[in-house]
Formats: sequence, structure tokens, C-alpha cells
Amino acid sequence: MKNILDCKEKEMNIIHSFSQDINNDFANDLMDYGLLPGATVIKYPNSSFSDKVILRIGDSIISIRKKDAEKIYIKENSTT
Amino acid sequence: MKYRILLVGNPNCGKSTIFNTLTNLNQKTGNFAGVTVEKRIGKFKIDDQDIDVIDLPGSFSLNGTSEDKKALTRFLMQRNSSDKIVFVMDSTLIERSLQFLFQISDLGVEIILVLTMKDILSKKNLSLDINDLQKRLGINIVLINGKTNEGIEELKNLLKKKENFLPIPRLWNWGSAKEKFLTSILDKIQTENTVFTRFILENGLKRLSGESLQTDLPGLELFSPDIQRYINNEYKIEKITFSYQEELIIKSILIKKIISECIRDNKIENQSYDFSRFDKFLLHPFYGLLFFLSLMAIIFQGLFTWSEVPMKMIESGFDYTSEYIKLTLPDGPFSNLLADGIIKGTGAVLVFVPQIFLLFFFIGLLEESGYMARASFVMDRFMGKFGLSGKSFIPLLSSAACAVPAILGSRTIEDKNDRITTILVSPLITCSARYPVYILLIGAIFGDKTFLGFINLKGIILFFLFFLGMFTALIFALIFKKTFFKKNSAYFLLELPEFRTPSITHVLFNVLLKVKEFIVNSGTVILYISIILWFLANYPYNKIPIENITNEKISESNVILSSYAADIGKAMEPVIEPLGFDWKIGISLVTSFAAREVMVSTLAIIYGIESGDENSIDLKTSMQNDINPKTGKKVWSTLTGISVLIFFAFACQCMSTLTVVRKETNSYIWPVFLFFYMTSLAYISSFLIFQIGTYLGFG
Repeated sequence: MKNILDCKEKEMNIIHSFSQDINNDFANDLMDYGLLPGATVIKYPNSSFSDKVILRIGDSIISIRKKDAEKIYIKENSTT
Repeated sequence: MKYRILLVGNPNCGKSTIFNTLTNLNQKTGNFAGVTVEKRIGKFKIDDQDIDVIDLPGSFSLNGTSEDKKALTRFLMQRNSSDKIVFVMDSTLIERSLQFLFQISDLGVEIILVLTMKDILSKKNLSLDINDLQKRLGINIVLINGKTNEGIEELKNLLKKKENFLPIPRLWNWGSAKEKFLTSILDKIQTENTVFTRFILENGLKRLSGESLQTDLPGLELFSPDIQRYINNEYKIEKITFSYQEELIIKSILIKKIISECIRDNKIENQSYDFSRFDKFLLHPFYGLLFFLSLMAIIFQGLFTWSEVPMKMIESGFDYTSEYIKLTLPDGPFSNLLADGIIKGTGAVLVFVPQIFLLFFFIGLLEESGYMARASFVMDRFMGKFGLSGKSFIPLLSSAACAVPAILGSRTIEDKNDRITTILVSPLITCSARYPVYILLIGAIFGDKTFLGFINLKGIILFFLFFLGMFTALIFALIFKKTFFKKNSAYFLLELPEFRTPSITHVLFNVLLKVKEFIVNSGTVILYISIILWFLANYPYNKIPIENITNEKISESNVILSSYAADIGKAMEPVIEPLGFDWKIGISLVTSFAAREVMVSTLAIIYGIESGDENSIDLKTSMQNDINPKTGKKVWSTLTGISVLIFFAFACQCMSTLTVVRKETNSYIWPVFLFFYMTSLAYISSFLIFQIGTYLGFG
């Protein structure tokens, strides 16, 4: 399944689900920001050397580590 | 009936600005019981009546295990029934804020909604239909511009009448099957407060469905055993599951509908690609880091240089006052207490003010502008190697000036484990108070020696000691995160707020609050300890009359040499002898607990040197010539000097630091632990250096 790292920059994608092994508090915090299944997410440009990914969810811009972003799945062909 | 106003909202939504505007400086800061989460209580005057306003910790929800979320939830669950809520919402971030508002309204509380950042809303060309939103939510709403105070009077007028606080009717539901199930249980329970009963029932059902909700959120345990059995049976029969995620998704759909009808412009379309070009630079792993380090260099240069003059003025002012009192009042215990105990003790508190003021001013500017989050972003990778997040870097760096403001500055770290770790390792970093001790000892031990014939050895040793402090702090951070704070969630989630022009008025107001808080909370304790240390260094009062002695310092020397501090120093000698220290160094260890640099003046008094500062040639010469009568060897051998230097590098010889740690952690455990781990580290390091050095023939 595609995860957020597979998103193309500046394109809208739909969140599908979280990996089963995602930290519960982390998942709750993400959901509080609006990163919920069905929500749209945009990956912003960031240096490939960085260990983080920058995302726009609703009206917020957040940053998470790439290794954590691998645990957030997006819908296949969800690019709009 | 009198009511309290509770301010609730997301972090950085402008809640504190409203709190400050309502209460001015009529506020006090404390902690929630048993935790380090800050609680601010102030008074707001309504028609000659004082209403308590409580600024609760910013949060995105009542779910989650962080200390601030737990403190907030516990407070809201144990609130008075008459308490009213002012929910503060950033009008540019309505989507996520409404989620939290709906969660709060599920408690059955009465609310006034305050929308902040009106100016930014206008800048973004967004128009918010307040009347429509008011009708949909069924509560009073005020739109505020915190920079100009526009809307504040309207808010004050609304706060005057408790009738203006209204509950939000339940706007969302779980779907027909689940609603039918909930209604059947609620019919069975038959309570008056159905809104709150529904809230706890839903929590209970989420737990039965396998959801691990925060422990402070009430659930089925509030029902009688009969009702609990009934709900458990019904749940098993119907097999209907409830989840937090599902609730958020349902609310999210409702929120999108409300936003699409109340906000005229579509924000996603307008701003989906507006990622700041500054951010591409500021968040870059190399350029971003370079910018951050350059900015820090400028800030800390400012912190050191700009605070120097006011600090010297404060010190001189108190020294002058102390001398004036000694000259004016007859010599005796009272004038001594007033001049050397109280006046100098007060000076010992106020001398920190310039550094605290400047550090919080810079931190305030960085936070208000939105850059602080970027700084955490770029430093996170490096700090992550030591188990800390990027947010720990600024407090650690500011420890190079003084651990006291650094520990206060650690409040910007939300994660409790990261914050305590940062507090515990900050005092290891070489602070400005250590330099006079280092300069004196290095001068006395190494003289003007050079390395490779042209490099000044003093500079190399000073650099080594600075590096040693920083390196040890990071290593201990890693040790603490691998041991005591092992259970840390270890994930990184950082919001990058939009850049804003900081409001100097707000920043200065917050700085004044911090300074006031330091003086009231920590300053008084520091003053008491200063007086105790003064007492130990001056009693039993045994001053030889000045007319019988030619050198006033020798007279002072007699006082200290016959004081309780000397007794302690002598009593300590068997313990400190294996480190190469004699009882005179022992006295210095006692007195320097008031402040590390006091060691220099103590040694000057002991050796009877006038004007003995760290650069005093006489003092250095006296130290170099001092012979231990027991061993016949120099008291200040090279090995002893290195041993003392290492001891001062690691030991927590600072009562102000310990006092501030006590206040900031709301616990006695952490300052006691800090003192013992640093002292043990210092003792073991000095012991090994001296003993191994002696064994190898360097003693």
C-alpha cells in the first residue's frame, strides 16, 4: 500500500489508514490535527537530505519524521 | 452566584493574550497538583466584583497521555458546576479548533466562543460569517484582534452576565443504529444531566470496544454496579463498537459543512501551494542549520554583552548599599546581617534579572514570529541522537550564560520527559559563573604557559572545560533517556505555524510576568539560602577589632576561619582529602554554594588578599606558595588544581539552580537527584584524576 512518502509534492492525496504498529499517542495527535482516514493531505517540498516530511492537513502545516510517515497510508490513485 | 471563567483552546491560539488583557498583572502562576503543567490564575473585575479567570493548558483534545492533556482533563472533570468556559479559537485555524470545541461542548458546559487573529483573517482575504456561525452553534461569539484590542470591550461585556454563556446543542450523531443503542441505555439510566451522562457512557463504550482512552476521562465506573452490568451485557449482545477515530471523522464531516457555509473563501484552493519560500531555506538541513546557528550566535552574544552592564550595575548598586550600611550603622551582628546577608542576598537574586529578561525577550520574539518551530525542526536530527528533541537546544545553549534562565526557558518543551532531562543536564554546561573560578585556578596552576610555543594554554584549557560541559550534558541526556525516561513515545510531530510579525507589547508583557514570577517564586528562597550561607560564613561572630589590625581582609579572614563554614570545611576534610583538597578548599566549596564565583572571594578572604578577584596576582601567588603543613607539599599542586577544576565543572555548586529546579518541576525529588548525581560525578571524576595522577607520580 502507498504511504505518505510516495505522495507527489504539492498534490492532494486522501488518507486511507494507519499502520497497526503506529504509536497510539502519535495516532491520536495526528487525528487531532485532522489527519484522519478520508482527509486530504498535501506533501510540501522539502530537502531530500532531511529526515522529515512536511504535510498540510486542513488548515495546519505539520512535520513528522519520514520513518513515522511510512506508517500512514494513502488511497491508491487518490491524487486529485 | 459567583462563577469562575476557564480559558480553553488549542496551543498558540491567543488564549494567553486574552488572559493577560483581562487580568493585566493581577495574576499568579502555579502548577497543577503533582505535575509540572503551568496553571495561571488571574482576577477580572466585573462591577466591583473579582471573577477568577483560569488559563488552562492549550490542547487539541482531551485524549492522549501527555501531562498537560491529563492535567486539563482532570481539571475540567473536577470543575465547579458554576464554572463557565471561554473557548478561544484561532479564526484562521477553525477546522481543527472546532473538533476540540465539540469535544468540550460534549461535557455539557456553558461557553462563549472567542475568535482571535482577526487581522490575519483579513490579510488572507477570508470572510467569516459570524452571525451564521453563531446561529449554527447556538452560542455567543466575539471576533478579536489581539494586537489592537478590537473586540475586547465586547467580550468584557459578555463576560459580565452568566446568562451569556450557553451550551452548544449536540450537532452530531453516531448514525441511527448506534444512536438507538445509546438512547436505550440512557432511558434505562434515567439521569438529569443527560449531556454529561452521554459523554461518560460513550467513553465507557469506547473502552469496551478496545479503545485506550486517557485514564482521567470518566467512563462506566461512575455508574452503579447494576447499570455497569446492564451496559456490559447490552454491549455483548448488540456488538456495536465505538471509536475515537470514528467520532472525529463524523465531526470532521460536520465541520467541513459548517466551514463551507460560514467561511466565504475556500482556504485549500487559495493556499494549497503557498509553502513559504523562506521555509525552503529555513528548514533546509544545511542552510537552515547555518542560519539557526548564526542567529543563536548573535542572540547569545547579545545575551552576554547586553546583560553585562545592567548586571554589573545591580552588583555595584548592592555592593555600594551594603558598604553604605556598614559605614552608617554601628558595627555589629545587625548591620552585618543587613549589609552582607539581606542586601547582598537580594542582589544575588536580582543579578539574574537582566539575563532572564533578555533570554525570554529573544525566546518570545522567536515564538511569536513562528521561527521557534523551525529551529526545533532543524535541530531535531542532532538532538535526537542524544534522545532529545530540537526544542531542548535553546535552553541548553542558554545554559552557557546561566542555568537559571535556561531551566525557566525549558517551559517551551511540551514533552515532560524531554523537559526534565533538559533541566537535569543544563547545569552541566559551563555557565558564566564558572569562568572566574576557572580563570583564577588556571592562572594559579598553569601561569602563562604556552602550548607548542605560541598557543596560550589558558585558552585551550578554558575551551576544553566548555567542551567537557557540553559533551557531558549530552551524554547524560542520552543516559537519562535510556534509563529513567525509557518509555518516551519517541515520535516527532511539530506544527509549523505561519510567520507573523511579533507584537513587542505582548512579548514585553510576558517577559515582565516571567521576571515577576522568578523574583516571587524562586527569588525569595534564594534570598533565604543566601542569608543562611552568610550566617555560616560569619558566625560565631569573632571579628578582631579593626584598630588592632592593619589589613581589613586579614580581619575578615579571622571571621571566616573561625566560622561554622570553616568547621564544616574542616569536618569535610577527610572526605575531600582523597580528591587532593584541604579544608580551605572545603570552606570555598561551602560558600560557593551561594554562587560558584563566590569561591574566588572566599579564597581571597582566606589568604587575606585585598581586592582579590580572579585576575589578582597576589591571590595567585599566595595560592602557589601555600604549603600543606601535614604533607609539606604545595596545597595547589597542578594535580590538585586540575582536580578542583573538574570538580567545579561537574558539581552542582549553585543553590539558585536547585531552587529553580524545585519550582519548575514542582517536586523535591528532581533537585535532590540533580544535586546528588552531579556531586557524585564531580567527586568520582576528581577522585580518579587525583588518585591516578598521584599513582603515576604527577602529585
